[in-house]
Amino acid sequence: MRWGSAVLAAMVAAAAGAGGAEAQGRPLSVSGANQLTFAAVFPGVPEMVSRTDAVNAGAFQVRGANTKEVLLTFTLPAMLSAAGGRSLPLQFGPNDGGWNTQNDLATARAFDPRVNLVVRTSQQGRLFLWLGGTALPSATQAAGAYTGTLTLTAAYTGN
Amino acid sequence: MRRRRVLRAAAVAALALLAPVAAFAQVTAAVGVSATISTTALSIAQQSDLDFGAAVPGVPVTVNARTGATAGMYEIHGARNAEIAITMALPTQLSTGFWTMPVTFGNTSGCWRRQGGQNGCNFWNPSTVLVERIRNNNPPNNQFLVWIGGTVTPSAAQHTGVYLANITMSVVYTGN
Amino acid sequence: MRRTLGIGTALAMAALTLGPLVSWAVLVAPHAVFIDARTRTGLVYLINTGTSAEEITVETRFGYPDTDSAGGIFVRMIDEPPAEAPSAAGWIRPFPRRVVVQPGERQVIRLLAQPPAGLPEGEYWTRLVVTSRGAQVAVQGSDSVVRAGISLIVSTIISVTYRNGQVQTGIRLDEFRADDGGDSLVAWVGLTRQGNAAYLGTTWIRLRDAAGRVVREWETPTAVYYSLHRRFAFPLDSVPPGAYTAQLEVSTARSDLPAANILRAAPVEQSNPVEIR
Repeated sequence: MRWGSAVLAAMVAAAAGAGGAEAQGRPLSVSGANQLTFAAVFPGVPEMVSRTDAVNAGAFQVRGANTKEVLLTFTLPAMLSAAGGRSLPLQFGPNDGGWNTQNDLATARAFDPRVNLVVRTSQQGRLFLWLGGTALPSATQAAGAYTGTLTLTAAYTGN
Repeated sequence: MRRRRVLRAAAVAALALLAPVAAFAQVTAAVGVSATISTTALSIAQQSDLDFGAAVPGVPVTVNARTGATAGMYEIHGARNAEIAITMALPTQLSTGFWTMPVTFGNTSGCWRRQGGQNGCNFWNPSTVLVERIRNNNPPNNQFLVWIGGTVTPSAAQHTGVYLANITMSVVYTGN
Repeated sequence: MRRTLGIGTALAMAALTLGPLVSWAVLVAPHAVFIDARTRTGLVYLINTGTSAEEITVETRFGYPDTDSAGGIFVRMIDEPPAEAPSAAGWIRPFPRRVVVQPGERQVIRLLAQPPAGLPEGEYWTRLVVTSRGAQVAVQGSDSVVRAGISLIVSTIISVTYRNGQVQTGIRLDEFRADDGGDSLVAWVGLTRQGNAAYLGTTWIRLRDAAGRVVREWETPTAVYYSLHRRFAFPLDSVPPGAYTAQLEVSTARSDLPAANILRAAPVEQSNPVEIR
C-alpha cells in the first residue's frame, strides 16, 4: 500500500465510522426558512403561535445524507428584547415543535423543542422543522417591537 | 524498509485517532423571533349589571348613574389620550311576552370618569353622544369608565314577570 | 287582605341590565385597518378577555367622522350611501361574520376586498362594526316567582380603508379662531380634505404667552374625510390673565397608526391673538 493511499483510507474509515458532519460525501446543513412572529400582542394577553401556523411559525430545513440519523438541538430564547432594556418573556411547551421528512406542516409530528430530537432524514436526505411558542406580555408591557433569535444545531449521530 | 512500514502504520493509527473529532461536528442556523406590542386596541368590559330590582306596580324605580349601587358599569381601554365617541341606542320600553313597561333615560342616567370611583363621575345624558378622552396613561391605566342608570315606570296594573330590553353601546375612535 | 296585597305586589321585576352576572370583555385590534389593491386582504383580531363566552357578529357599514352644527364631532353612519360615495361597505367582506369566542381565546377576522371591475383610482372606506353579546344568565324559579333575565350588546367600530392605485391627501384650513370661553379656551377649526384619500393626522393647539413660551398644549388625533368644522374647549385652569397667542398646527404625524399607512401631506399652521381674562 502506498503512503498516500493508506492515509486516505484511514481518514475515510474514521469519518464513516464516527458519523462526522459529512457522510457518504453529502455535507449536513441547516437553514432557517421562516421567522417566528407574534404578530399582534397586547398587554396582559398571552399570544400563542401554533407550530402549524404556516405564516408565523418558525421554520428550518435540514439537508444531509439519505436516511441518516441526526441529533437536533434548539436554543430557545427566554425572552425578546426591545430598546431601552425592555423584555418580553417567551414560553415553549411540549407540543411547540413539529418535524416531518416532507415539507408538509399539516402532517408534522409534534415534539418538545426544549429537549434534543433524534430523527432520520428522508430518502432524499431532508428534514423539515417548525416551531411555535407563547409570548407572555405583562399588563404594563410597553408598546413596540421586540426581537430575539432562535437557533437550531444539527449533527449526525453516526447511525 | 521495516522502519518505514512502522512509521507509516503509526501515522495511519494517529490519523484514525484524530478522525473521531469530526464525528461531533455540528452545523447551526438561526431565525429571528419578533413580537409587536400594541397598546391602541379598543376593548370594552362589562363590570356589573344595571338592575332595577323589584318594582312595585305603580311606583317608578330610578337608578342614578352616580349613586345607584345597581347601576351598570362599563370599562373601556384604548390608546392613551385618544378621543372616543360613545353612542347609546336606548329602548323606550321593556317587555315580557305581550306586556311592556316604559323606561326613560335622563340627565342623571349616564356618568363617566377616567379614574376613581363612581361617586365622582360626571353626569351625561346617554341619549346624546359622549365625546371624551381615554385616560392619558399606559396600560393598564388607559381606561375610561361609564355607568348607566335609568327609570322604569310600572303601571298600577303591571303584570308580573321578567321584563327585558337591549341597550347597545357603540364606541369608536374619532381620529381615524 | 294583607296576603292578597302581598301577592298582588309581588312584583314586576324589571331587570333591565347591561350585562350578565359574569363579566365579559372583548378586545378589537387594530383600530384602523388598511388594505391595498395588491393584497386585497386585511386582518382583525378579536380577543375575549372576560370569563364568559362572547357571541360576536361582524358587519360593514359606510361611515366617517363628521361634525354637527354645534361643532361636536361624531361618526356618521350611512346605511345606504349614495352611488358617488367612496363606500367599500358593499364589497369588503369579513369572514367569519358570526362567531362565539370562548374566554381567553382569540378569533381572527379576515377581510376580503372584492372591488367592482374598473374601480377608479382612489381611497374607499367602510367601518367594521363588531357587535358582541355576553352569555345570558340562566333564569331560574317557578312562574309565581319574580325572575330576572339579562341582555347586553356592545358595538366596537373601527375604520377600514382600501387604497387603489395612487392616493394622496391634504387639508385646507377654512377657519381658525380662538376665544376665552370663561374657564376654557374655545377654538373653532374648519378643515376640508384635499386629494383622493382621507387625511389622518393630529391637531395641535398651543397657547403661547407674550414671550412665546408654550403655557398649554392640546393635541387631538384628527381624521378629515370630507370637511370638519370642529369646536374645541380646553380647560384654562390656572392660566393667568393676559395677552396670548393661540397657535394651530395640523400635520400628518400620528403615533397610534403604522407609519407605512400614513399619507404624508404638508402641515398647516395659523396663529391668532387671544386675550385671557
